[in-house]
Amino acid sequence: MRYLLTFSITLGSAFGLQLLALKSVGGRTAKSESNFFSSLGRIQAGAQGTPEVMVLGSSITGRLPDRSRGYTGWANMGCDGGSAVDVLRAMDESSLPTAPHLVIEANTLQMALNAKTPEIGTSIRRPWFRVGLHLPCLAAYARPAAFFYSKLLAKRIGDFDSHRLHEDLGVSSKPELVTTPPASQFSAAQESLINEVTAILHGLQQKGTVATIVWLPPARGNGSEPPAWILELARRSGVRYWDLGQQANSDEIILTDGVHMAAPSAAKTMESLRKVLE
Amino acid sequence: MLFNSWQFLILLAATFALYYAPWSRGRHGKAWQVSTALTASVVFYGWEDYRLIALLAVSCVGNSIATGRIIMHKVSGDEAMVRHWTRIAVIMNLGLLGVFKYLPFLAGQLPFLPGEWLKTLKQIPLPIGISFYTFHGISMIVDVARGEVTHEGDALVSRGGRFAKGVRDIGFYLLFFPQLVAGPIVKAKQFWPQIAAKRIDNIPWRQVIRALITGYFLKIFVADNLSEQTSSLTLNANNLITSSPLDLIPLLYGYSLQIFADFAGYSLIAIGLAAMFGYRFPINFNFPYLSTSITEFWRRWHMSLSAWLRDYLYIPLGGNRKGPGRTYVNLFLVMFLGGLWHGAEWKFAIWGCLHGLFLALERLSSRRSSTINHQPSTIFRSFVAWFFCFHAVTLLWLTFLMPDTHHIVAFFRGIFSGKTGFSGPPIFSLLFYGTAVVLYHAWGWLKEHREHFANHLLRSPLEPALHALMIFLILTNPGAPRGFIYFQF
Repeated sequence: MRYLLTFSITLGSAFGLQLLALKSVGGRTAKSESNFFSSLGRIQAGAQGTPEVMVLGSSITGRLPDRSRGYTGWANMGCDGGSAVDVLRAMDESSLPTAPHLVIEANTLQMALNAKTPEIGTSIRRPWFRVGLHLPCLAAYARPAAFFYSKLLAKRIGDFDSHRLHEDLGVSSKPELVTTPPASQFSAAQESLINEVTAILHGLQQKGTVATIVWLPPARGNGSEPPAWILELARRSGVRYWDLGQQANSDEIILTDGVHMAAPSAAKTMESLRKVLE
Repeated sequence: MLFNSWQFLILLAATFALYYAPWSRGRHGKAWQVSTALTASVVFYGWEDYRLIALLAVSCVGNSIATGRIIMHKVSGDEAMVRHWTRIAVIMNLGLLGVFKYLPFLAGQLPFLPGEWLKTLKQIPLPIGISFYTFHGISMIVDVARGEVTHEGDALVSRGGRFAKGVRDIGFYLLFFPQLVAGPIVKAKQFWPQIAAKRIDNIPWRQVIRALITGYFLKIFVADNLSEQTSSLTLNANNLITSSPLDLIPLLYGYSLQIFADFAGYSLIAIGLAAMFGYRFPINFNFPYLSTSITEFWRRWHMSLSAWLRDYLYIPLGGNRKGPGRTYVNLFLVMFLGGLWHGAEWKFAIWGCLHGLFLALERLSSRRSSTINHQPSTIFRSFVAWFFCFHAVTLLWLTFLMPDTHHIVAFFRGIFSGKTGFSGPPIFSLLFYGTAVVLYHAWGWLKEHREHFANHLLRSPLEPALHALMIFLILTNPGAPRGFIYFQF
């Protein structure tokens, strides 16, 4: 009896503390030490409620602040080590809800050319992922390790909250429809992916979703052109394309490791997206 | 089927309910319970690939026939025939292991073998757990031949229905699901006398809860989470060369803690499950990272394998009874074969040989110190010995983990690269998850050195509180589900 009582009180207290901690960080932790769980956590948190805009992509997207950092209506669904296609496929199968606006990160779309289904893509379809959608305490964004790791990471890359300055990247361009077919020839894998994603986007458009493909900072090296197959994807699916990374002033972009934006740059990027898309 | 899968939990619940069904208290209680557990074990084993059951059936029937013959000749006092059948049965067991585990490896050592043949041989699948149930089979045969399992196997000398019961019991010993795929290696003389009708009110629930919660915690919270980081050690050798020592060292320590948590976790789950069905399994891990010598390490690590190798290999080889020289050779040979038992690759043989070398050196050193320079142990000496032992074992895990020598060389090139940068996850994981293994060993130290205080803690509310915390972390912070490391052996 004493065993059961102590057991129940401790277990209840642990879950209570976890929920309090979750509330104090705005509903979700920023990052786990595990890329796998960070991604699942973002996707689970992003699928909660009714966000206006969902940002789909890789760990580059993962650095962008979202509604847990004051950007009301914005859900970050960055998939570390993956690409926007993983989440698009899950939306197409109705494994995940969608939003009125989708921002599709272009930087890592080539990851989806790999025929192997990524672990994240498989895990989204597993029962325990769905359990986490309904029970916040069992979601990947509520892992005790993630609370500690997010705290440490905030010290290293900076805290998003301290950089809400409403400054953007100062880019004057806007997303535009691609009308001219690129001259390039595409590989079989590129052709297949263009067809698959175009079909998914057409399906989502019919349900009223508006999508935009965005090349996020950092820019491509030597000012090179975006991959022709991505422009073709935008053209065939009738989705607007925006080369935000290339047009941003490189002085505005601070990277922590050559690929991922530090918090101030991520916040400015988010402001640019918000001003154009809202 | 994995212990950490939903399918297993469903199978377990169904088996438990049927095993202790009201009619199991009747005259045929033993038959019902053994048949139920045996059926569940077949489902458990054949879940991923039902074809593997055929090989188990061959092993089961072959060992039953041989055991029956040995008992028959034992009763009639014909020791020559006992030895003859023992040899046949041991060769049959080793033959199965040889064909399915070692043939492709051995064939690969023959330079003149046509490539096509080698390719065909390499396609032979490695049946999961074959090393474990083969050792169970050999234990059965040898224990019966030595007269250590007697009347329990009498049914096997009969015909018809009684013989079938004997086969069923042997099948149950070989296949009982908690120990089927990764041990502990329970000797026949330990298991057979336990085969009897069991009652639900005799279940040692405290022991079951303790073993299951700790086992699942070590596996799901510690090992699976550490594994996500340590798996990077085996990916690309070039990445290791360009890595910083501040990343590589935590990964190596992490693997050392992970392999303990993975295998000790599995063993505890097996012990807890067996206790649920009324069977006592030997403990397999006794806080091995408290060891102050490699000799002590092998008395604490995978104890059922060490005991098996001692009883059925080291002692028959002469043990330490034939002089120091032969003792060193025996130690070395046992560890070499013990290494190869883990896998048909030279890296496992090297790992075993290096452990054998340490054991031989320690034996030599202790012989000298006991006669020439024996000094009482001090805390400082104990610490130095522990430090040396832990790091020797941890470094030797490299040969166990790495896919080839190229990776090992790349690892050391990274260690001596002089780079100072590091990424957060390896160190964070080592501290966050590895602490659980350190605390587990601290508890082991308390049990061994402050027994009174440890018993006091066990009676305090600390234990249920810790169990609740472990359940909380299992539910909220599991690692990505992975198989057990020892399943591959």
